[in-house]
Amino acid sequence: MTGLPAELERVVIVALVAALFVAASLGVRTWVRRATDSRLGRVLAHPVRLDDPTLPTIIYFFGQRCGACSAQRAELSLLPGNARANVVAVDAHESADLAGWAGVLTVPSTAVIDPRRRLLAVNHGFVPATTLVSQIRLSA
Amino acid sequence: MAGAAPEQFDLTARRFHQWGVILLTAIAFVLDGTNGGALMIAIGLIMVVGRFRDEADLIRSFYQNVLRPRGVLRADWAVEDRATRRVARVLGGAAQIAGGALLLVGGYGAIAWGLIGLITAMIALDALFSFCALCFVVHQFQRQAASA
Repeated sequence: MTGLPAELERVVIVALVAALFVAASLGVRTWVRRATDSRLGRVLAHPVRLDDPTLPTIIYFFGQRCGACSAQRAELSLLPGNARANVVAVDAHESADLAGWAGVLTVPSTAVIDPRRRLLAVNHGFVPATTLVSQIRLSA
Repeated sequence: MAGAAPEQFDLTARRFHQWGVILLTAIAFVLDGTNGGALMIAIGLIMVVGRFRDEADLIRSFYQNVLRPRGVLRADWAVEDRATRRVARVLGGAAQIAGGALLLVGGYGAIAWGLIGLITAMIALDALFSFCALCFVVHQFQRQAASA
């Protein structure tokens, strides 16, 4: 029984660390969501070449040596044919201004803009095509 | 834009594995010393060897062979990035083995648990929010380096 208090102490430490971690994570998540929401509706002033300016656009931010970026690129190539949108790939580090406009925090990230070049959604990290399709439909 | 259907993965299997690793790490922390070190090395081996051989991942095997067939947990199939997680899994497993070895040697408890705690936090972020901490850190580092 001599070791019990030390073990109990460590159990309490684990519980406290877990509670702090969850609280901090939820706080950061809320902050990121608010920061992203505050950018929605902003108009894209940066020059971006679009195949069809009358369609919504997905701006795909990638980086060098980014494993998840190849998965996101593959996912973008699998967008269904009826999800009509321009897809523009941008190096987040070479186009830091554009990445800053969208509030990109990590790569890959994707930003969806409507035909009037207003920001509709920003996704931090990999997202499946189904999410992007639903965001494109916001512009309809 | 049409193409082959993207590969889907069972998110429940991934999350069960991650929560299992977190729980075992907490048990190792409570045990501490050589017992805790040996458990951390075992967890690290599950992470690293399980990356290359699915049957070596005992936590995922328990889910696939016991919990899912009995309906305790249900599969949640979805497209997600697996390449980065595989890299992170090997890196994290290696750090856990190194941390376990430091605990076995003795006298490096703070360094060992600091290292293991960092990896556990990254696993928890992915399990809770599907957030790739490794991708975030690399991007922020490259951004700072580019602006310097």
